[in-house]
Amino acid sequence: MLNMPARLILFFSSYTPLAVIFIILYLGRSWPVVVLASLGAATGLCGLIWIMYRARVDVAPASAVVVDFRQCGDDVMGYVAAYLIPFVGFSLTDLRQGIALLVFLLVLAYLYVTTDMLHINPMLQILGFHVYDVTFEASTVRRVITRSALRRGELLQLVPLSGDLQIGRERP
Amino acid sequence: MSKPFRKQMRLFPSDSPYFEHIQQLARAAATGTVTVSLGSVHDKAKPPAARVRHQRLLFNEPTAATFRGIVTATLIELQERLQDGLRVRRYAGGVKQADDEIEHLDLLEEERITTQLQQLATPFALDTFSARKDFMTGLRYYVISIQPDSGSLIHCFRFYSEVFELQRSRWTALLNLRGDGYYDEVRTPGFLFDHEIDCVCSDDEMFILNKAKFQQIFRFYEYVQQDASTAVQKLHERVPLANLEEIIAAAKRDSRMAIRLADLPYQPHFKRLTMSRIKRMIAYRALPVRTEMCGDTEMLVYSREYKAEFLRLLCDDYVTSHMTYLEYESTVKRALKPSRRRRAASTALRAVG
Repeated sequence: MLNMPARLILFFSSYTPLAVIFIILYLGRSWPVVVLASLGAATGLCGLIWIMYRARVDVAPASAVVVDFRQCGDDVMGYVAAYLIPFVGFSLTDLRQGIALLVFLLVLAYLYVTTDMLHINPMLQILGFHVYDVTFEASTVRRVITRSALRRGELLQLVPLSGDLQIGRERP
Repeated sequence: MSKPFRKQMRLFPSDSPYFEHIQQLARAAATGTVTVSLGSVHDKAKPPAARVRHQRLLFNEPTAATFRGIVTATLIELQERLQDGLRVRRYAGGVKQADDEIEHLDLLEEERITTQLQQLATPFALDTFSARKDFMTGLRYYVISIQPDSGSLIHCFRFYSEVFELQRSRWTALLNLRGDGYYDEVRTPGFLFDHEIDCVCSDDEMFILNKAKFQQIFRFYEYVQQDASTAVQKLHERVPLANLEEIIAAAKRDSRMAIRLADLPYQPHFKRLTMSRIKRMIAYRALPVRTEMCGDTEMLVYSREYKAEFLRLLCDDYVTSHMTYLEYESTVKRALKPSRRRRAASTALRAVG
């Protein structure tokens, strides 16, 4: 199960695309912003890869038969539209706007780590993960992040990530 | 499992189908994924479905392999014991389990156990263990659940006692954490797991290796009071009892008595219990058990002064060996298929009344 630092890394990783956009926008205009955005992007990307790897390796999986599933992509599109694109217009060289952005990010980070939003992360899709709402036997429904495409009747290995969120592991 | 298979097992309880079934379980358990959950019982919780709660322990793959090893070793040992003549008997609540037997229970006949098992249908979905005080106080057992690559879940239950908890155990654990001969007491919470299993279940089959622990895990001692009251009522219909309420009250005080009484209607001798036969045994063994007339009906009187004899009498514990003609007092009895001579004798006995 994820602890608070891991949740924060997941939050920052969800802003990796924005960091890349900032790098492109401020390249040659403001080196501090480029350096900070590069650090943020690298930390987010590496952190996400590390967390997904450790979560799948550290815990012995349980397994369950997939009865039905539904891919969830709407949440990510909504997240990108509502929380990433508006920041593109912010001027990070202006101190007031920079502080305003920081406050907004802190509020978002708090909401992200305390509510069940960890699966809403555009980087997961970029790294090849899929997010599904899966119905298992006994009508148990869980949200599953997995690299492989699911099939009905398949025995899926699962590792808990946080709350109802599970990571689907490929069978060895 | 198919119906004919189950039926066959009932007819020939110690024959090979059990061996094959255990063998299949052992093979399936060797490669399945492992989940271990703790079961906590809270008798006063409402609704009743919330009285038993399970929480899952998270651990790494080497630990899972250890638990898988415990299950497969137990099932392989069981296979070997079956080959060496271990008998598989149908579960009978009030009968003591002998050393050379295990018991089998068809879960379709035990709704209460099925209800308790429902939560374990999807072990991955259980809450993660959080060591909260209310959960810890009710901790009663743990379950090793194995999901084979194909086939149903295998659940192995083990009764939990405080000796399994590192902080409450009468043992003190010392660990060599600093090296160079320094052994420090373990103060972080932890569990100890032994290599025993009390009962194994898969589909609707339950194999009971340790009956006393099985009954504690599935709260038979709590239900048994209610069952004992029903059984005493049924007994009263066959053999009039002068002080029915007193017997029920005694069973409420003494769970061992309640277990024996609760199982009484399912015992083969129950349908043959009559007042005349009881009186004959009282006279034959010179038992202190009294009867009294209440109007036109003769009634059996219970008294705490002869509680043990009263119970033995009702449970048909006074038996005679036809080989040596010695007489015994035995609480471990299993009905055998009657021999031809015995069938003739019992027909004659029925004719006499």
